[in-house]
Amino acid sequence: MYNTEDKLTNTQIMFVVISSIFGVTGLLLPRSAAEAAGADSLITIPIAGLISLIFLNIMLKLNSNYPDKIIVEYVQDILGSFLGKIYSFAITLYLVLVAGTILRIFADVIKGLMLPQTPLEVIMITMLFTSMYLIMNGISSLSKVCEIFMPIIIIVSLILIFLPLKHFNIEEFYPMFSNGIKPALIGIPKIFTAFLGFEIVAFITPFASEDNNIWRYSMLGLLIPVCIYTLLVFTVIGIFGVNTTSFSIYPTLEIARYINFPGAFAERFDIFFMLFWVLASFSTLSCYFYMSSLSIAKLLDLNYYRPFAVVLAPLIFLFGIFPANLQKVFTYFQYIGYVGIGIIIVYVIIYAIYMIKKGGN
Amino acid sequence: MQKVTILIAIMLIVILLLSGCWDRIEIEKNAFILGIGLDKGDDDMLNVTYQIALPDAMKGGGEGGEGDGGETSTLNINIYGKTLKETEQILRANIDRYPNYEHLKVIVFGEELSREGLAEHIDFLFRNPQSRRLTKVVVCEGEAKQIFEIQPKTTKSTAQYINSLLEDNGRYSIQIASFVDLTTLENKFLQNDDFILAKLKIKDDNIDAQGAGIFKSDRLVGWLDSRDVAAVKWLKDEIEQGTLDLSPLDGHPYITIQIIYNSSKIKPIFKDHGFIFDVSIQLEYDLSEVSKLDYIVLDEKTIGEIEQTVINDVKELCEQTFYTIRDIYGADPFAFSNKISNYYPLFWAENGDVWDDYFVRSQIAVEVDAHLRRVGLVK
Repeated sequence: MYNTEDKLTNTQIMFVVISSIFGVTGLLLPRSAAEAAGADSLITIPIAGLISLIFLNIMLKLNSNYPDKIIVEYVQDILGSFLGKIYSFAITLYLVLVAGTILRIFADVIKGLMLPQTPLEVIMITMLFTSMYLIMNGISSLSKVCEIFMPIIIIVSLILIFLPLKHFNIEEFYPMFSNGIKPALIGIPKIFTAFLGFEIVAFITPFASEDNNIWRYSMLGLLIPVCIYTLLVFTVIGIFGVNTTSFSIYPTLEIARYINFPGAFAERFDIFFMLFWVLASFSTLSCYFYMSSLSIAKLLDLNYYRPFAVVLAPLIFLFGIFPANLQKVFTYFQYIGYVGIGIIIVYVIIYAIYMIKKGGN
Repeated sequence: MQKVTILIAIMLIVILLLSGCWDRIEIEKNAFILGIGLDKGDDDMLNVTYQIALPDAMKGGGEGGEGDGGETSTLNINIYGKTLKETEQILRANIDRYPNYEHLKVIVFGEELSREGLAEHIDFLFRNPQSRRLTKVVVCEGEAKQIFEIQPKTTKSTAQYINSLLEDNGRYSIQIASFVDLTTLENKFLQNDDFILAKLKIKDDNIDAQGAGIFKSDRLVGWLDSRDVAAVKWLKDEIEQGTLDLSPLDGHPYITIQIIYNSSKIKPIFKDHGFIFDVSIQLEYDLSEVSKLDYIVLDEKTIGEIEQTVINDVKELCEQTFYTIRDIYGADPFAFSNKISNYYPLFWAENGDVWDDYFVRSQIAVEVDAHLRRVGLVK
């Protein structure tokens, strides 16, 4: 049913999970965190990360009962064909929307910062075609790309976090919890959307062999972005303060521009950082693209997803090009994030139904 | 045969794609702007001076230049316009290159413009993706235009000269105010804080960076001399290394010390409807000069005397500067308002808008802990 060559190693599982989470949002997260919870976001992010770890755990538990099926298939077993198909369709639509928005944000950033004269469509189509070419080669190529890119991206992100620390001022976080713990908790849903992407474990279980420790490595794959994001927001707010962070559109990039390394090497650290950020967005986009093609194929009970990659490409492009301006893009991205939360919550309900059914038997 | 046809077709398509890149600008077609000077022009206009690098002349290398100084390495262009973007447009009509802000080192504000406020003119540089965040912002006595006309003897361009004055020498001199970069400035504007900017002035055909301009909100209200700058640095807990002349000891010679370490802790205390800022300053210093050769410093009693003098001097300097700035300008460049919002968030939420009224009644209590560490190579 699934190609036997498409087997993943432990580290590949980890890096696939990391790369589907860690992508375009890295550029925007400090702003949305500062907007959502201000200085309190320092604890909001770990809490949101913890919640996503719990959801991931639930997802892995249910997956382990269907080792050779992906989410779209086993949901139909649990909910019945009709309800299952509706839920699966919602997932597919959500994935396509996320892929479109990622593509758009990527292209907008590149156009705004580096290639002002190049048409947006050209940047988007180039990226989309490259991504399509990758996923046409199956999960093995995708996972290898993630495995190669991600360690470098993580190292560059850590450099980005640690280099500007001399400007760090702990007083920017004062007074913490001045209005109690409530603002920190209200910000959780908004920040939680940054960790969406771990759903990919529900799509790669069939490719993991039995001797894989999928639980440990996918947990690790989520934990790493949680740590990096926490450090990132900590650094950015500690340097810029809450006001400037929420005023800036791409605060992570601003931090890259704020680095002054002795010597000429890192004088333009932002360009260096953007280079790797392009790789990160590419692997994130590819993960979502892959998930959506696979899930639409399985939704129609077909084994080959490759033709659907070709069908979905223009759809992703259209969703990406649709928002009129940057403000709309960010609003849609936030709403789509909430849809993602909705899907996760329904998933938990499905898990409960599964447990009840199992208990009944 | 068919394969060959397909191959040729692909090659033709590739040729089409290779014909050009939308954003290609040859490096020599860029006009690298090193410094921008902003002055007030007639009827609400800006008078903007761009200092542009001439790459050919820059290439010569900083050290080797056989006495030709920097005379031809930069080009100053002076443009009138309403906004920075408009003047950039006009600049395009004045030079056959593309303005590029990626190497922008300093922005100099003229005195007259500073007195009317900076915030409305500088937004372009926050918004423009090309501009660097570490660009330094300074204010000058007189016109910024004249600052850029000075050709420094040691560096190729005025902008780089100012940049290294502030960045390198600022760290080892208490006379030069710590530089403010674009990010810091943006932060100050967003919080509506007061601040100081390093002051430039022309002295004997050279640039002098002693002292600072004091800004209330975004308007220049007055100047600080170099000793006041030292006090502001202490009160803001900024790192400074530099020399301080002590007031003469009883019947003793003049002594100059070199500060090697400093750190301050500032804590506000609410008392009798006003604030007292408890400042405790820690200093470590070496003795670097005594104006009398046969004077023995390395003596328990003398060291004690010197330490006491330093404590008194620093304390007096801080208090004097604080009360001068408070009473004459009503400005708070010490960022004490941030301390209040950190330590008294509830008070700040209620009274943040009327902080100025509280500030003019605030007081400081300075406590200095100073230690002499070394005296040099002779007793």
